[in-house]
Amino acid sequence: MSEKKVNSTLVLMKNISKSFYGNKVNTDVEFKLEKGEIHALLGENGAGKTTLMNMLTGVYFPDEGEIYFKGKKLAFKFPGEALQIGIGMVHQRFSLVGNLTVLENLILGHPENKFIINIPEKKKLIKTYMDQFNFQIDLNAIVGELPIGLRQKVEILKMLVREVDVLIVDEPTTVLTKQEADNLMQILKNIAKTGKGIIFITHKMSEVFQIADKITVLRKGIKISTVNKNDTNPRELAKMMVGKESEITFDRPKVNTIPDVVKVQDLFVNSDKGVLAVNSLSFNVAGGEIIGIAGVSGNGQVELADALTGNRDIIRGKIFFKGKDISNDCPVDRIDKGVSYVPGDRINVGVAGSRSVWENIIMKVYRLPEFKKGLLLNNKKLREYADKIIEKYNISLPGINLPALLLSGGNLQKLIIGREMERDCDLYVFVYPTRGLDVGATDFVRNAILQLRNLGKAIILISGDFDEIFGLSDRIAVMYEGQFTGIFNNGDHSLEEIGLMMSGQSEEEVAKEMTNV
Amino acid sequence: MKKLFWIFVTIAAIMLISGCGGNTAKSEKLKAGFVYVGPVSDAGWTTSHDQGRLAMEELDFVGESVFVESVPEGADAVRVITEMAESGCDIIFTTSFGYMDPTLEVAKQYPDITFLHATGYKTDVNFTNYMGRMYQSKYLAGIVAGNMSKSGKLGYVAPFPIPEVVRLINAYTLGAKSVNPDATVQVLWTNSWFDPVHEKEAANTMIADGCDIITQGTDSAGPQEAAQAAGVYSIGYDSDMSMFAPKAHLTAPIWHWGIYYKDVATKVHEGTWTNEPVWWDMGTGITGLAPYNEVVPQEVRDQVAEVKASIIADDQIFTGPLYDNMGKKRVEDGVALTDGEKLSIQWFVKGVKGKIPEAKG
Amino acid sequence: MFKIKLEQKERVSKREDIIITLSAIVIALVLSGIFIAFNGVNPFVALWKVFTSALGSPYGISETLVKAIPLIFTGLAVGIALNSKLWNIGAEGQLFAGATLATAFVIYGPVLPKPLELTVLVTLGAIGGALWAAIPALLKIKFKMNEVISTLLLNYVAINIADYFLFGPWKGKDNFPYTPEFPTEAKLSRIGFGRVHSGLIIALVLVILLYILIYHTKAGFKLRMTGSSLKAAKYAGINIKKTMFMVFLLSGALAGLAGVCQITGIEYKLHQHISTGYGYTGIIVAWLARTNPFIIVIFAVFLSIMLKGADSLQIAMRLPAAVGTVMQALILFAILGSELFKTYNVKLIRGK
Repeated sequence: MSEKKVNSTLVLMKNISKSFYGNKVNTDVEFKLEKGEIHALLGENGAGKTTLMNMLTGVYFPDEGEIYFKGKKLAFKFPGEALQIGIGMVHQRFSLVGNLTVLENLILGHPENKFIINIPEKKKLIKTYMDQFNFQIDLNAIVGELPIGLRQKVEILKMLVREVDVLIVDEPTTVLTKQEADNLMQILKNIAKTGKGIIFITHKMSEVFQIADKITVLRKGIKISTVNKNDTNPRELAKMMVGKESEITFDRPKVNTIPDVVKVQDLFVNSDKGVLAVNSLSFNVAGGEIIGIAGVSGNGQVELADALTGNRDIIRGKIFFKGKDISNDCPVDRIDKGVSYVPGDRINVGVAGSRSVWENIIMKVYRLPEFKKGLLLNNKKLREYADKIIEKYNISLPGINLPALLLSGGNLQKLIIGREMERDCDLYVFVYPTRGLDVGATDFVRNAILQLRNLGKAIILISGDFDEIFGLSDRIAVMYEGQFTGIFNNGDHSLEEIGLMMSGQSEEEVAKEMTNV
Repeated sequence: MKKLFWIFVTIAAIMLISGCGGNTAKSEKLKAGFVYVGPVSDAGWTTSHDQGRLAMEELDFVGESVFVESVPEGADAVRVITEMAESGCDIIFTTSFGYMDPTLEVAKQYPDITFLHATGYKTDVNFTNYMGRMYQSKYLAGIVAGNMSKSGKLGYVAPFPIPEVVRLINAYTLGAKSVNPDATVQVLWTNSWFDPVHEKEAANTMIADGCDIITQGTDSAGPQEAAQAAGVYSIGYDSDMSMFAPKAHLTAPIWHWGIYYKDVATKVHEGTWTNEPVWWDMGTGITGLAPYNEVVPQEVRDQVAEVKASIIADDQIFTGPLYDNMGKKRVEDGVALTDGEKLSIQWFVKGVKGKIPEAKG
Repeated sequence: MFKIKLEQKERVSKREDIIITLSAIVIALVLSGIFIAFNGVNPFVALWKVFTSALGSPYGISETLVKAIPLIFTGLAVGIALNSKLWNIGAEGQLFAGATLATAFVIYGPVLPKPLELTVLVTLGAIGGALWAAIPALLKIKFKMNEVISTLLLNYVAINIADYFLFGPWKGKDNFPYTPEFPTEAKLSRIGFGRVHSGLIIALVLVILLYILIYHTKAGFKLRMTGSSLKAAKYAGINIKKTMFMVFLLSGALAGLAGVCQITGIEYKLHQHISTGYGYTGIIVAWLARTNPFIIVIFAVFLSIMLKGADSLQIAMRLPAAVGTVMQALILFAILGSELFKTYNVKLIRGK
């Protein structure tokens, strides 16, 4: 071991910077991976973890900085090259061919393949890997018919067959059950023992402590710190992940609340993939109250918002709105009853991008009798309505007939919020309302939300921005894997404590953790 | 973008200089027009007509002939025939059944032009129909097939169950049975005149079923190629198809339209043309067999020659007793089908394995 | 060495859009000219012939319109579906379905007074097409089956059903595959201009009605939203499944009208060749016209000129029939290729 000490560094990334369309995704990041090491890359969604790894595998080129692999500087010519020299990545989306067997997938595309493939020999080789790391997979099974946990193992096995020195796994446990995840971690540990380096991308605190030797925390594209597992604790890491508490304050006058405008009882909702995304959730929202839902994205927040507004079917549970059961109402009924939704995906859901600005402004009111002219629509009146909103909400645009997708992010959000505010609803659901917006637009959106609250509306605010959550919310709920790990009045818990809840610890566990220190 | 534009302008200019103008010289000679249902290619129905057209062009009083290929058999045909009439044609030949009514419609507008329609039955002052008795040559082909088949099972790739096709299948079957009473003819419909892939599939199906000679009423060389690939014999149709299947192709009942086209051109030129419908015998040479494959023995060739002579002398192919393939006696002993009955025949003779869809009522 | 560099364009102005489309057509014509020149014919004379034969005489214009009528219907059929991002490749089959259903009434039903008879036939044609389109619509909505495949394959089924009747119960007295000629009551009147029949009036009225439907009604608004983004339409409270289903029915009905207007307007009987691929050419028309009903009329006439012109070229220039097909293909390719210039700034840069 000691004689090879000099060469024990597998990967060295120096001063890496990368931006997309002017947004800095990585700024001056340093990263180092040793042989036999499991190195966790921890950070919120959008912290720049995946981008950093995509540069290591040659998918992107860094704008600045250098990458060394086994002491040699890397300059990729084509994306497949990384795998050939020994850097393999298992993505969140698998790259297996569903119609082929496991064996065929493992052999497929192997650089040593000749025109005729000696299948028995390959099979023997694969078997040795399987035995060594205790994989239990039927090589003749069709990949498309395997459960997702096994498919992932095939992906990892494929990398081993390619004899990679560096194995990158991108949030591998999101689709796995607890048992599958434990099994996977054990396999990864065994692989690391053979001297390979493993980079484990995650945002889950528990996994970090279960598996990693070293941890690098990224936040907003900047490396915060690299620490040894034994030198740190969840609290410290959570602090690194979420950053400092904000100084910004908002004026939240006391208003008379209307109790239980929204009552959610034991709600279950599936994600697009058919996985349970909202798991037995119950809570109430009062009129005149903002409930801020914090959490790492992908923990069921969007599905919850979709379900509340009728854009997604629920599996079980009830939603009451102003005392009436709306669980099975279609979107249009909820729109009519006064449910408003400002979706996170502005360009695809919030507007029909290729249609004009005015059509998008009237998309929820065109059905009203006041816009009828006999059997036809009164387009003139509808345009006037749109003009009015553009003026009132100060949306700047060159023309009312312009496709909505050509608006800047800020103006688009103003359009959506203006449209929704004008409809005067009783429940407003905001999802990531200021994501990607500049300062001015952000102010506009936050003031609009407060204004609605002060008017006595019930507001659900899903956000990843702590300034926003702390600044606007009356109550805060922390969502983790489809459940609330805590729901409390704003001010009851520190940012650090919320960070821990976001990583899966319950309010009680967090309280214990805090007293331990 | 601008550069591209100028490149195109330059090319256009070069074309203007180098291209040759259309020849619009008017002459006293006859101008003939042909309307084809398919493309002029290497074999098949349209090709046989185009060979006839070229033969007619050799006459010194025929100036030029034009054709339009792949003309749809419907309202479009009226327009094409009209344009042809307008372009100065003196004789117009339309060569598919679907052109009958369109041709008649245009013929009424242009009384000075002679219109001739192949395979139909309507006539007018300046309009008539023409056909050759292909069934006679099909009968001869049947004799070749009956002699050369080991299994006695013959395959026939057929387009549509219309009388013309039924008649030819019957004649082929009767020819085969005249030398091998146990011979059967399996018919598979493709519901298309020209569909190489489908025709090939049909042929392969019948080969797999034990048929060892494949023939066709369709236009493509698909069945010939299928036979060649499967190592069985085949008999072509319309024109000599031996180039597609040199080993398999025994012979083919083929058209020699040039003989008729020259005759019409001469009569129109001399002013002796009448609107009498034409259904020419094999004796005129309008139909016949393509050159034999070398594997066809001399005895068979002699036998065919003998039968051919007797048909030319006295055509008794559709003379009773004739039974249909359900066992019903259709034609009494010694009675011959009239031309009218032959032209509308809608039943299969004994030995044909196949079905014709029933009409309403 | 030159390299081509593509840069995403912010937006394309209406004017730029039209200029690029027209340039594409000009380029296609120039390329066609090269092809024609290879056949030893002066391309200018040939192209001139194409346009003069179509537009140079009252007869030419009337024939161009005759051929444009079914193309307007199928263009509208495909176009309305494209408006809500659905691909109806099945207009050809729906055309036959409409024609077959209408013919069934002519054969089995009573002969009614002309206005009534024609109303029934035209209605049945639309219904036939709509029913045939309902199959892929249900397959898409219930089983998420791709409509491109289902509509395409159902074409063959519809044509084979028509064939069944033509070769079976409905075949003529002479045993040939066409129905007897329709009675006068079942023939659309001509409008006194060559063979142009009142199907043209039906088509043009529909163009206006569809324009109103798309741009001036609630249903049209739903259709436009659904076409732009399914998610946004759902978010706006639109029942996207119902909208898609209705669009399919409407699209099929329009294609069915193409069929019934062919048999009652020009062919006067049902036979195998009532359509020369109008359902497929309609796809090109709709694609070129970008779904606007009025522009569909323009491109239906344009395609009609090209189709007709190919025949004229054969007579006048002795060019093979393939020239016409090549010209159509070149125009389609040029227009598709011009999409690149609408989405990107294309630059040639000198490389190493």
